[in-house]
Amino acid sequence: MTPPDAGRSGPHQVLLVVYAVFTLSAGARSLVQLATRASEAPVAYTLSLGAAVTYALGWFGIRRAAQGRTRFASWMLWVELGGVLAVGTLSLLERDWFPDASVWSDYGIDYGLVPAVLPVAGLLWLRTRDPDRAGNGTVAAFRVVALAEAASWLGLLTGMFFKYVVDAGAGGVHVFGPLHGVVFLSYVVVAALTWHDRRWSWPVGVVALAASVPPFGTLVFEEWARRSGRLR
Amino acid sequence: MAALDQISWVVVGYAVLVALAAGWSAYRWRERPPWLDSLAWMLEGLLVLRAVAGFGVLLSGHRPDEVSTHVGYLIASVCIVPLAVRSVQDDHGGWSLGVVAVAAITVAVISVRIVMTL
Repeated sequence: MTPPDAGRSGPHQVLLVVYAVFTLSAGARSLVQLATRASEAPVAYTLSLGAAVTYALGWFGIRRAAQGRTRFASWMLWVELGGVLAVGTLSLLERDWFPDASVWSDYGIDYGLVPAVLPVAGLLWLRTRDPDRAGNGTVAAFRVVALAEAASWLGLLTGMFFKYVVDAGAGGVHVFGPLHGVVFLSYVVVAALTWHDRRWSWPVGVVALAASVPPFGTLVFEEWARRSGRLR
Repeated sequence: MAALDQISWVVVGYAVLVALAAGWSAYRWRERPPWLDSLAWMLEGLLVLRAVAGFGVLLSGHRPDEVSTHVGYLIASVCIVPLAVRSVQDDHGGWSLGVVAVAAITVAVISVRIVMTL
């Protein structure tokens, strides 16, 4: 549960510091690189600048979310996650475009993979902001895997985009294919447990399981189940 | 240069110690003890010493491979701890420990980068 003074003290303080540090480091790094040797790796340096802007907007969004307005943060964190996955996959497939690393190269390995973890941590925090989103352990687990399922779909779609649309190789699919498989199976298990725990009717339970098939279906189902009181 | 490297490595070790102390406090008390702020300010003292020595070396004529990056790290290293500690001045809750820990780890990473770019 969120205490009444959640706007002041809470996990968002840590998120805000990390976002501030990343805004500064990514921004300073890309500006110095663009100013002194832009021709060496223009794509990588420009992408780093884009990452810095995303972190600045993310910081702003989290501040707003801490005061109760979560919509902007929710959008920005998904954009950030998509950016990390896209740039990370691109850097694995098109080595030539990255003679020097960008912030999100190889999913942010230069920064200890924090760039890949940060948006997920932010999205998980956002879900605790809504009082009517709090629930028991099973419901909380369902929310986490529903989000993870959607995130792994995003990764898999990124990989498929580079494989089939850009024709840049199957590296991304090889990374996210198995990952998506594991998360998909966990979703099915947790959804079945939640079905039992929340005493959903048969049609609702079947829809919950089927929601894992289309991309982002789990998020749509979760939102519907929350609004119709089936996650209380 | 050897002396500068030594101060930098002492900073790294001490910053890690501050981060661990923050983690221990979170585990033990779930709030920020006053002595942790003192530890953090002592870390800041070391960082100022390191930055002054670093600028002294620059002024004496030594040129690192990437001057702008190196100077950027020197300036950033002394700004982070005061900003972090000030931002949680009136708040001694458990999450403020995370703020101090993140600041300490950031300073440790920057110190390693300072040695690498010298």
